[in-house]
Amino acid sequence: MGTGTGEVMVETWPHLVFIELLAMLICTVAIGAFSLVVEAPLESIANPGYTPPIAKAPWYFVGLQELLVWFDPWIAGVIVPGVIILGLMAVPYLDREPDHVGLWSPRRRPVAWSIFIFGLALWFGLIAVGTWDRGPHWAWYWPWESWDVEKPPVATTTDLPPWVGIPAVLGYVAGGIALPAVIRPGFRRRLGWPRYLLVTALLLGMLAVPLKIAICLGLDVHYVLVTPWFNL
Amino acid sequence: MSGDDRTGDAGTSVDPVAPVSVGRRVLFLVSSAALAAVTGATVLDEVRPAWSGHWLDAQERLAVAGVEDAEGAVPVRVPQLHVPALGVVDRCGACHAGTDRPELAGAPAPLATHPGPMLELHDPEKVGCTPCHDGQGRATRLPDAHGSVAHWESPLLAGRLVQAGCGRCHDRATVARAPDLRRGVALMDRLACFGCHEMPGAGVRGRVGPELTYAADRASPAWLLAWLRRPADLLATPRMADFGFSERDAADIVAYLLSFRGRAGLPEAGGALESASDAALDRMYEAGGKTWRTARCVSCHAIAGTGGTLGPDHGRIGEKLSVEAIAAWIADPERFLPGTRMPRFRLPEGERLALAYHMSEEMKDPAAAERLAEVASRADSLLSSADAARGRTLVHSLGCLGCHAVAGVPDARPVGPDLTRFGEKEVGRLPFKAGWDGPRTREAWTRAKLESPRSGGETLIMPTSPIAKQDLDALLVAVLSLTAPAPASAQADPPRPAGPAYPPGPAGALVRDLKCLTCHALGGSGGTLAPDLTAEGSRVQPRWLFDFLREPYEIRPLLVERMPRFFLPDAEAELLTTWLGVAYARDGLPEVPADPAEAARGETLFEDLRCRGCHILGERGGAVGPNLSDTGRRLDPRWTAWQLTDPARAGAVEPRIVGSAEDARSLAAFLATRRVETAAPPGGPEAGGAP
Amino acid sequence: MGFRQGHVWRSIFRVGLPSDRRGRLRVVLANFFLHLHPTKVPRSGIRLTYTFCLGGLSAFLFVLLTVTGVFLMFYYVPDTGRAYADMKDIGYVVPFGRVMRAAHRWAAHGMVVTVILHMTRVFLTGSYKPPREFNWVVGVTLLVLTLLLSFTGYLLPWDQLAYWAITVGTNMAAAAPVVGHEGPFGHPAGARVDSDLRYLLLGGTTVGQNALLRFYVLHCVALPLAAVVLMGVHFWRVRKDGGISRPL
Repeated sequence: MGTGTGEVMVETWPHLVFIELLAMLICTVAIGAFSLVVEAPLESIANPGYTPPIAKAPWYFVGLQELLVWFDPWIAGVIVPGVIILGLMAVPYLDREPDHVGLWSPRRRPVAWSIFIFGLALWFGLIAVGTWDRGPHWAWYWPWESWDVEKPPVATTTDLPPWVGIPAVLGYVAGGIALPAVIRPGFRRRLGWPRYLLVTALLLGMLAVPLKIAICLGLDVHYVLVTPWFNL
Repeated sequence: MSGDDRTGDAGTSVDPVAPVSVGRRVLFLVSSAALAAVTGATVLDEVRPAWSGHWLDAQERLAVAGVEDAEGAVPVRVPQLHVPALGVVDRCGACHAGTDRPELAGAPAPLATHPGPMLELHDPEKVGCTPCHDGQGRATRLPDAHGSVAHWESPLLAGRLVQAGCGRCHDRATVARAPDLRRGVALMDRLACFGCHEMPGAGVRGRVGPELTYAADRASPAWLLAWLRRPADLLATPRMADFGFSERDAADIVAYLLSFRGRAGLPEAGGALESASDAALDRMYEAGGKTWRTARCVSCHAIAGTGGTLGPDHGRIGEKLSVEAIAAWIADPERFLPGTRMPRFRLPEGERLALAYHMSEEMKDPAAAERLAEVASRADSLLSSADAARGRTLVHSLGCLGCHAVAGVPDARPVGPDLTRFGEKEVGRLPFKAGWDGPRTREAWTRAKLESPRSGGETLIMPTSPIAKQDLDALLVAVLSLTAPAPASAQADPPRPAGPAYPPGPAGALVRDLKCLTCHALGGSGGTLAPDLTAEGSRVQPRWLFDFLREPYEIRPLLVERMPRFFLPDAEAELLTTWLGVAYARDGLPEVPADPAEAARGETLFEDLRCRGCHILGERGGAVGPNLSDTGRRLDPRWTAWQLTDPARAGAVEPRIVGSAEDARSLAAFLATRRVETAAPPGGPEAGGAP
Repeated sequence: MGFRQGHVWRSIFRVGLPSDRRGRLRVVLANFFLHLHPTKVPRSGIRLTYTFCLGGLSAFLFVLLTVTGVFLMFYYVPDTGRAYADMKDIGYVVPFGRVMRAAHRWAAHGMVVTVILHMTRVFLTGSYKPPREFNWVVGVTLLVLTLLLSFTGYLLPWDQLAYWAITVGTNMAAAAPVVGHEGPFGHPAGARVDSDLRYLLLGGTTVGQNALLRFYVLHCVALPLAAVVLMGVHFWRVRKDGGISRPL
């Protein structure tokens, strides 16, 4: 691997072009062979009168569908994907560290790697749960359990009272914003206030997802915060 | 292009003309070969599809059978039946290459000719295949085409199940070539599936069990307890299903029924006979037996399995009902079972009581008395701790009200699922029980359900009825036939009227009271057991009709169901005769003069045409058709001549044998001379019976 | 070999296969497809274990999807009355239809995977850093387009899977804040069941003929066009922003 000094250059033809040709060939063979063996799925004709016991979104959206268990639809279906997209777009403008380009080096960028891999694991973890552990009516079924066994939907309706919910949410936001600045003042100074606030807000948002799930499961509550306009 | 390329000249290059490594070259060759292989496999799959082998086979067989240019006769292709009106695109011919080729009649499965005359009756170009058979018409591969794959909701109706398809265009209860469907539909009626399930019916509708309000007045608590526990203990073929009631359930229900005691206003059991002497009782027994026979009760009621099936088996009626309850029922069946098929016999009270006494004494199983007595001995203690409120809940929630009325309780929704479209219900909706390891098809689920209705879970309430194996198949056909009807353009039979349409007026009331339409049709509605009476006024002579109504006799020797004797008073017989003669006659019948020469010619024709093969005349003849010995008194010769010209238009099953209208007239003239000389039945009005 | 020197061949391929260094540079410069590349690339940048070809594979899968998709368009009509039957016909009687549809389906899943992995690679190697910030933004937009392309195509077979997946998916739009009639502040903002974001997506309150047509047009025309334009920008910016990233 190059080290940044004295870059070794090779000709595009044939070295890069040949790799690309190989990649395309192998890709075509793989798709072609797979398509010969495995047919594209086609279920019964669309029937608005019959909702199947389980209707799953395309796999890449199953994670969001899984979030519907824990959040109201406007959060799971709109806020979460919206924040993910905008947050991803903002990444180059928030990362003020110009070094370590072009290297697979977790040791040099431990924070960035950790955050990204955590987010990726969360996304695919939710997809895995939604794909393999959810059965009819989105009830929890272990992979080895038969979907014929009917599971009554477990509806938790208890919410945290406002005198717990409001301080909890405010405390989470305030604490989350303050904590990094207190522990690592240099971090905040390097970013400057606007970037720092945006970074912490995005991170808090990401952490809030598993945190809310943990609270729901651990304390058996549905909403952490109930307001007349929206519920969290 | 590369003028502003910042990378192009940035570094130094080593070995400017280094070749691509050997490993990558090998990889290139291997993946190129793989691409060629995948492409080849794709093309091969396309040019030699699995079905093409059947066509080559068919060509070979046709060549062996001596067909010239077999390859031209059946070129390898996917034939397609396209019927836009039915939304059909069927490519079944991709494998079934020989359905319309008689030369391939003996060929193995996919090539064989379509059996039976079905293709003559149903032009494939106009009907296709899947409207009858189901399956996936567009598919061209074996499991897909038969629909035995996931996500195809209407798999092939294999074997006798294909009859389920007949009901989409034909009347399910009468379609000629679907015996299992007919039997299944009749069975569903007999089992009263419609009590709990919404479904299009074959005929019988409404409540089929007696009103529960009077149950405790009519039957003893002990009998009710025993019956609820196991109906089959008390009757060989009970119509009521076994609900699997526990002793406590039964006691609670009986307690609920006992809360209505006294509503029927029946005299105290045994009260009517208390003062009668033994000799008087013997006389009543004899008289009642005579009435049972002359009224032809056995036409509808079997005794221990022998007899008609229109009404319940009465072999053990004596265990169930008191003499008073039987007599009250005969006096007015509608009171205890509104809409019953039982006519109201015009018996005087004494004869009713005698008949009831006879039935009560004669129709019981002596062996059962002991068991009933055993239940009776425990009945008091059982009932003393019974919970009538719980009994009421059971009666209301288990579907009892689908068959039995209870005074003051309004009609409720059926307790079972709607079966109107069961034959196309999505398989995903069927509650397969946990651990189900059979095929996940509608057929398999339904068969299991019919075999043991409650095995799927503890909350299931469908009762069981003993169903024989072949009955189970017929029921399965009937249940699976419950689908949306085919488009109106494909319907073969007119829609069946919801129920019998009774004529207006006093005669209509009489027809309703005597339940004539249970067996006879009148003006397009009614039963099919007995002749259609729509043209009766022209068919028979009024005098004969009057006599027959008062005292019917056997005309068709082979039938079990005979016309009952209603003990009609003259006024009612006359009303019916007059009314049928006026309202149900047809015009335009040919005149038949009473000419001896004509009659003589008819007699010769009668023997020449071998009419005696089916009809009795005098001493000899076959038993298939009606006895013609008394035709001179019975039939109007004009009708006879009209019917003989074309029996089908009169609704008769007899073949068209008579060649010309002239021959028919001669035969009619001859038959008009045939009468049985007996003493005229007494009491009939000599002239008043005829209009 | 004589053909290679002939008029026709030379008119198409200006330069022959290279035999020396100069030829290698010329062939890249003279070819429309190859000119996307610089004539020379850093060896570390094209190591298979560095890029895993993920960006290139994403683009190639897009080409495969276009080819198979055009083929499918010949046989498919976005009409709720026949879309499903067209699917069946493509599977049973259209020559090569079955394998073409399967290839389209699996390549679509493949492209979602490669695009996500490509983005992961770019993040983990820090390749979004200046001067490539904006190309990262373009890339995220392409990721969204890829997901939308896949999602709109999901409805077209008009089977239960499609119908209910799209129903579940578009119900989210009804729950959007302000612009969804079921979302927070939707009602005060004037969002009704027949005038909100979901209605706009579906052309109705439920998935029906209008939705099928909208998804078809988006899937076959609007989104691919947008993707092609953005891909052009993306590739252009790769060159302009310093080529394949490598350690500075």
